[in-house]
Amino acid sequence: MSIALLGEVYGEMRRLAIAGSSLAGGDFRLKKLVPPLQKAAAKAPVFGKVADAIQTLVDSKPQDSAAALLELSTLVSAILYTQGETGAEGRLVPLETSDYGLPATNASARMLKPLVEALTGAGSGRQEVIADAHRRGAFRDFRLLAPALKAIDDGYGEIADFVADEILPLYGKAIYGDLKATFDPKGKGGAVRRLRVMHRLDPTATRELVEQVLESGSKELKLAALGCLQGSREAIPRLLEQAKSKSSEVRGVALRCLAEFDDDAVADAIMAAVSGEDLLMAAEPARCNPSPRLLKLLLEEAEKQFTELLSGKEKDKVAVQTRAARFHSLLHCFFERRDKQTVAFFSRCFEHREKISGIKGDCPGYRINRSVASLLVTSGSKAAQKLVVEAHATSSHELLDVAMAAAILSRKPAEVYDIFAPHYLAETDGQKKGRGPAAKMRECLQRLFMQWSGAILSCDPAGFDLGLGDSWEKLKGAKMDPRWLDAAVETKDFVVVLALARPGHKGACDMLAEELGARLKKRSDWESDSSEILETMVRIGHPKMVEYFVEAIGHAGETKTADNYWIGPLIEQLPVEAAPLIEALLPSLPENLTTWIVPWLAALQAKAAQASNSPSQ
Amino acid sequence: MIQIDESYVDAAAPNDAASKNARGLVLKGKFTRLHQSADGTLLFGECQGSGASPYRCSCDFVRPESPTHRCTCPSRQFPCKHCLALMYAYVQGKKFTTADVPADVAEKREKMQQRVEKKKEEQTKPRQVDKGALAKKIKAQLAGLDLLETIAGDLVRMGMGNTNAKVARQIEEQAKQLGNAYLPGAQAALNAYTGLFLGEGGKFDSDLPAAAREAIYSEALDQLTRVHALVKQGRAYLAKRLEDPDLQPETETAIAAWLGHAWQLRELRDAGLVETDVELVQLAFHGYDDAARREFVDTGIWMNLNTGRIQLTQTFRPYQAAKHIKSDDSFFQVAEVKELCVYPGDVNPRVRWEEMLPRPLEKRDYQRISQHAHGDFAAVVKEVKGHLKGPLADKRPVYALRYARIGRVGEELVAEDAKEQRLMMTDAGMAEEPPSCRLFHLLPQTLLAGQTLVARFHHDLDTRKLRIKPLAVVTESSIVRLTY
Repeated sequence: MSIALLGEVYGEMRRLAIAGSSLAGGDFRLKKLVPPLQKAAAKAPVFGKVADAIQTLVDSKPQDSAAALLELSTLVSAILYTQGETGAEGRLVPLETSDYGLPATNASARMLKPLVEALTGAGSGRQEVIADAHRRGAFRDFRLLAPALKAIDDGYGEIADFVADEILPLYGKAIYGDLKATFDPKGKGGAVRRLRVMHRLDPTATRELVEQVLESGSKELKLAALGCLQGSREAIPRLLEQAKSKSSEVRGVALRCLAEFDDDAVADAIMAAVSGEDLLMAAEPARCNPSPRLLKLLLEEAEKQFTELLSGKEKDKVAVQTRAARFHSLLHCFFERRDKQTVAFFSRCFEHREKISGIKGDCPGYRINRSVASLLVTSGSKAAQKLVVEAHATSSHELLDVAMAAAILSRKPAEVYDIFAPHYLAETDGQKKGRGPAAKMRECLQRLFMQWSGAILSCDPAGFDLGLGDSWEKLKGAKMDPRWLDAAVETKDFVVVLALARPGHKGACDMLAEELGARLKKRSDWESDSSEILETMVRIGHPKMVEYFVEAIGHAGETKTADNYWIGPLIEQLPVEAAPLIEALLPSLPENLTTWIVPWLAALQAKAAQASNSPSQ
Repeated sequence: MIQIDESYVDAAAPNDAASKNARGLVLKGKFTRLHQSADGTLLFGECQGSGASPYRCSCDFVRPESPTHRCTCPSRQFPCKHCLALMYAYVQGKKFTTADVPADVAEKREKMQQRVEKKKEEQTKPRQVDKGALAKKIKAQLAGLDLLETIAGDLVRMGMGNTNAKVARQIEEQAKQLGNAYLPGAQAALNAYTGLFLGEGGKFDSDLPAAAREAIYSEALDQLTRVHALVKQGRAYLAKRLEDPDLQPETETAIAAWLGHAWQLRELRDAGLVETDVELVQLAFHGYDDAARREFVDTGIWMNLNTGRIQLTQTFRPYQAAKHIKSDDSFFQVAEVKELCVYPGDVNPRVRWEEMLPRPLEKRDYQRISQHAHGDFAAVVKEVKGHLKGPLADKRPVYALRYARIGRVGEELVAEDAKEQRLMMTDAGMAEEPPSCRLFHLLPQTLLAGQTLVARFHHDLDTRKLRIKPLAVVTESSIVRLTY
């Protein structure tokens, strides 16, 4: 069958259908096809019918042309539908697949649809739907791949980032092509995320794209591309080049990427940034960099600045302030450094703390002293920590918590108590409330205990960050002498009781109950501290925690508080026996509170059901 | 003993919100009474609502293949959240005390039984046709076809190139008259044409750019050709029916449905379009928005394990009533149907049933699917082409194909049978279901050889290629769905 001829007929027919069938009368291009069709009819009579239909069309009047054209279309289409080409010439090669495992596609359409809408739509509440689905492993269903790819461009950045960082990598290299196909080198949000994911999936394949973007991409993409160079020694020249960029953001990222390399050129570049206007930006890279050359340069600079500060030659107060602030910023470069030179230098600095404390202004001397003390504490040097601990007796209250932190890290719990308890227990009566030195000392220690426990209370005094970095973890894991809690109970220090409460301590349990009871008598502003108290009760297994918790829920219902978000997550931590008690309470609670509680309660009930079904039962 | 579990109740819910609300009712302890009849077939209780009196609801499993839900609440959803909650309470092990069947429920049961028997009886009686009304309707339809012919003729004379957003809007207005003339199928066909000219955002407010228009002209011409065929065949069919009012609706083709006939199950039975004791497995499911019909359509693609035919369940939910009609959902078991009614149609006819019992899929079911699948691509292609040439045929038929391997030829994804006959895969031209070709890169290598592919055929009018869109892969132990 001469399909090419029919194809021509179709083309002409289509042309006239677009232009209008009233133009078909006498159309010479159609007429030209009639003779070959008639000839072909000898072998296939259907061609004759096509020829007749064309003749009818070209002979038609405008008012009849539409019907004639549609008759021709019916005939030609019917034939062409039977002539569709199938097959593919060439070698069939295996398909590259990612090691994704057998996908789970047993989620019903009804379950998938809300998730697809969350990924592809707009509006509030979507993030929780997506995050919850991810937690449940819903994205094992690869039918969600297309909507997830779309979500990388979501208008709400947090969703787009979540999808890019947590969901898309699940699908492996199989999606690399999709990401690359939709990558815009001049783009911003979506393009940045695509680059990030592609680099994560296949750093080697993405390198060329990274180079291209560094040459001519948008600023946002350049920043992402620089991030892709992190860890690559071959990229050092590129990064050094970008460290001199006109854009401060680009310089910042470049310096961060260079931080890990022990290289003289890198050391010089970081030092140049530290010495110039990029000090704050360069501080972290400087801190992390292992180069001995950089350390030497940094110490020289620090020595120079400290000497100037100490000399007192500068009379201009503004200039002094600038120097103080600069020196304080420089200290960040030494944070958690443990080498002998650094420790020795800052030990010398610490010995001059009294003179430094005379500096007033936006960056007062005590702040410098605190940072120096923190540096010594985090150095791990026993001698340095001893220096700070022993300063407790002679330093102002601003250094007391750092001194105690040093003691916690280097001494036994009992020793720490013996050294610092006198400060805590010092008489504060008769002093102006909260203003006298003894009161300030006590407050300082309260802050330490609170930060140690992680508690946040509405009565939390404005705290200084101890600035201990990773040493915090060690400090938080340290044991406190049991006498601290006794002291807190004795002095009715609720804040510290909350921080230090432990299972089985009657005084603490009684005080927690008393404090909670007082708050539950209030009709307003009772929620935030109560949530902390109940959390503590749950943590220490307070004998009446379930009873108090149920009472608190009831109180939340009565006072119709809007601030009840904390109730739900706490329910999960309760023992399973609490479930029926809370369930019994539900009918009396306002609808919004019940609606919030119900899913958490369901989780607790599920835990109870699991416990009752376990083999050990 | 009532044999239901949580997934059964989930599936019974009309939508996700109803399911969630129902679970909430149980947790909040809203049921003041929970009872079960002595024979265990009836669950009933009282549920506190917003009013003073509780709602009385019941779930009646006296006919387990067709349970009945009753409730005194004003909700038009079915089953309502109270009945769902009652079932959730049951499967979650809440305490149900044995009690006598309430008098009103007993009365309703009796009436239902009478209705069932009456229905059976009526099915044996010959149907009474109001010939006068039928003639009036047919004349209105014939007038509608004349209008359709005029509209289509004007469009062709004017030229598709002159169909812009304004013209398309005008045509849609005229098409509404076809709905008034009992020709919803014709209205949908015309809307399918005008829908191709929608601008960005699916609105008629902007005209398509030139490149986009060029891409739709072939499809648009095909739609107009289809409209032309509908006019011709419809006119002939209606003329025959006008002459002989006793003539039954056509069952060899789908022309009756095209002309707006809503088949009743009884009619299908009377026409002998029934299969008995059938087992069906759902191979794919998708729900989509059919803008031309102004309806949401939920389509299940099933294999009849008795015959190997691919048959479709379709639930149509008009926009204005969508909230009140239960959406269909994926089904993951075997449906055992005593009486399957099959609509007139060709390759993939629509089917419906009133009662069904589910059972889990077993290895033998997967084996039967594989056995029924077509292993000879050349033969299938021949069959498909023969089917496609009909102007009113379904242009996207679904088949189960047994392939030897799936791989790549150049950039094309290709399935090959044991005789090395090939079919190229594509997502182009089939936008009702989400893209599925790319998902093959995520399948384990073992699934790329010697399995069954459920695929939809599509003939591209511009390239003149016949390709397939993959919908599912069936293995010896699972169905990997590629669409939703």
